[in-house]
Amino acid sequence: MNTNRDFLGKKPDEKFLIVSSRGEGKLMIPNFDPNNCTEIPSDPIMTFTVDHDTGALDLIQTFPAGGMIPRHFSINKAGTLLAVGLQGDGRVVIIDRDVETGKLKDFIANAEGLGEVTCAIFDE
Amino acid sequence: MSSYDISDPSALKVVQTETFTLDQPGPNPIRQNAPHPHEVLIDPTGQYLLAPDLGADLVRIYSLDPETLERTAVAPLVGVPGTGPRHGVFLVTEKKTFYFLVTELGNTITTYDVEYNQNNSLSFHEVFTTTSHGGADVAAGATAAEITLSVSSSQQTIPPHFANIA
Repeated sequence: MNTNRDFLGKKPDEKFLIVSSRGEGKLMIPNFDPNNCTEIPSDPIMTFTVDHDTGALDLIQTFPAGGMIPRHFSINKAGTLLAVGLQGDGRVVIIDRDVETGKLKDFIANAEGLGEVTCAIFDE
Repeated sequence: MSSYDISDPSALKVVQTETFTLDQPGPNPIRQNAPHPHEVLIDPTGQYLLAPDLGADLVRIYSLDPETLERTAVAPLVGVPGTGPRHGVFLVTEKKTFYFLVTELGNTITTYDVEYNQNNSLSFHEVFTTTSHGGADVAAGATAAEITLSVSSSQQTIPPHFANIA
């Protein structure tokens, strides 16, 4: 029988912990300006699995945050998108996310020239 | 750190406000010359308020009056000196409540098993710790920033007629 719980089976379930780090700039990513082929530096976002019995964390991915100084990020209700506020670059990016594996996949949107971004949240 | 009654959005009322002092700078005197409460977070039961203080290497803990949201300081979570607690997140599992704390200067993530005491206080038992890079060394000058779980169903939101600003 298809229960409500089964129906909700694809909801995110606190299996993953996500952390951003600032001031590293060790990752290089394609420029968000399609007319500029110069790569830009990026800080990282780390994703960990969470052991619900012990509280232990296991790193499964290091992904570029989309630029420098990812002071804040948030996840949408469905767990499919991450919005990252990049204070150093005055940019917000939206990153596609795999709900099942918890892994970030691609930059799917960006907004530029925002000044020193301190917060990026979804209105949904 | 101030609490506001926002039930009338055109007339915010301060419920409670306080400032903090440090007797002496922390191990990182440039960043820890004064207390720096970095966020406020209500625990999943709604009974406690947590405020990681980067400058004081503490997570300040308060018991909350559910009616008035007035808070009373209880024993803090004492962090490792010089690590600079910044943000935290709760996870409620079938058997336990965990609190994950990220530190900005130490670039650590520490898991605490949270114990609710009879005397209206919390105890934090460290059960796991790693770096922001999962155990790998972190680049000099890096500062860990935000931490979140892939869903936040156990995050208690502030009762809708109050706002709390750190």
